[in-house]
Amino acid sequence: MPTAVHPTFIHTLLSNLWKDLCLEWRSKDAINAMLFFALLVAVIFSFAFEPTPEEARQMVGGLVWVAVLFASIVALNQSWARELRNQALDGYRVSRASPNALFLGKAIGNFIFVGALELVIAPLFIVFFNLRALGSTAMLIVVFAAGTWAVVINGTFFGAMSLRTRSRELMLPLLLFPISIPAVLAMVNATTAVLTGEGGTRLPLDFLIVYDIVFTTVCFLLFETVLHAE
Amino acid sequence: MPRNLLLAYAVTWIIHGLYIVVLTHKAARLRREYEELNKPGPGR
Amino acid sequence: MNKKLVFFALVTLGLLLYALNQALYVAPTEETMGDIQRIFYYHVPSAFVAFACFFANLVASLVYLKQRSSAADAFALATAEVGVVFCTIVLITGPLWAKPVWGIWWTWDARLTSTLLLWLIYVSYLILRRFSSGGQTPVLAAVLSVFGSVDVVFVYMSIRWFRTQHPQPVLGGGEGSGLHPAMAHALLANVVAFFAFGALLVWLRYKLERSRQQLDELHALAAERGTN
Repeated sequence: MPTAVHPTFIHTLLSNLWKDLCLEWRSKDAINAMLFFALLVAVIFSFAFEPTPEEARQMVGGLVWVAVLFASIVALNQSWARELRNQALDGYRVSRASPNALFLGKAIGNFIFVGALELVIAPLFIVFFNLRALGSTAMLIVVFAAGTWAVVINGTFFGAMSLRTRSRELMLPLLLFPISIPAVLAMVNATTAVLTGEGGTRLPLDFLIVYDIVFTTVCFLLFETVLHAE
Repeated sequence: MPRNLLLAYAVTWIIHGLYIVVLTHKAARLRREYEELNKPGPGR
Repeated sequence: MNKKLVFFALVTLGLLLYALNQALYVAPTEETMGDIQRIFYYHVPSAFVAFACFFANLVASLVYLKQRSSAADAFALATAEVGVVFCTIVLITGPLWAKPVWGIWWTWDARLTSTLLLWLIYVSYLILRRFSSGGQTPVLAAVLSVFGSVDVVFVYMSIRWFRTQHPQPVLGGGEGSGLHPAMAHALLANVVAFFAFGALLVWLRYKLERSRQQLDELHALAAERGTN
């Protein structure tokens, strides 16, 4: 007697993640757009501002995150658009697979994409602004991880919400930016603290982590509702 | 009376007034749609 | 229903006129700021009403998510709109008061930034409601309301902790501590009057939305039955 296959959480998550990574690798749509955009931002900022090394260390924290935020909108918009083809999303709604596994898979995929972007533009900013971090690099990586997760988790959620609205590409940033502002403040604060070596990183980092935990929980609680919204 | 004081009070009531005008328009439109619906259809 | 509404509207009008008189003539002129301080009697009550509306919106959104009642959704929409109206007034009257008194239009302190953020979030709420397709609108809006409310807490804290560069003038400093009794009375009169007015607007908008919901249902039924 054939038994029904119950997709486990991990199984669904990993297969979604793998699918997204493969699709993206093949088309490279999002990656190219993101890279181009981030590069553009870096170059334009370098022309617009001519800081001394000390000034640069004060400013770059904010600049990098602005570049990352705008570039990640590109990835986030694309991430759900894929599911609209062939009614993949409808398939999810009727399947027994856990919706949160789908969501988490997407979020992790986006995290990887944006993280890859950051790895590419970080050296760019270092070169353009002659940067040298005065604080610990390990701490910088932690800050970037926490900050990126904050943007990606909410971005993935609002991407799902915007999916069937008009002006989908505008809706996502419209919803995402106000909600992200406290996280952005904390990220920039922490990044600047590490770069300049002054000011504590403890407080903004703790704040960011609390933000991540709270919003990840809220997203998990509400994703199924959004998925099934008519 | 200082100019900004007058401005502040005026702006308050202008904005409230505008909102009430918008509500009135919406109500009028709604009423028209109700009448459309209740009107006997075309034909006999 | 209509009689109650008219009566309430008249009472509200009376309250507003009484409160206006209090604010402009009866309340004494403030010593240091002068007459410009009277903006306070409109600015502060508007803020209270805006926050009350947004809180009511959160409650209505949670009720909607739990029970999917269209009454809750109508109430959520009404409170969001009226909240944005009052919040807009707060954001305009604030700088009008601040500029002559403190020399600056704006500062990024915790209170102002949170208010601006709240305004942004609810404007995006209203835009989402307009841009999403019929069936899913109430659910998405309710979800956004929850997100927004959680966020405001973070916004307030993040500004307190991470924005220490900027001066933090205590706007409206004289509100709580040692307010002259006649001023307190004028403030209270305006708070009551504007709450009544806010409630009136929410009531009107709520009824309008319920009618709209009914009409949509009738349209749907008519379409189902086909022509004739």
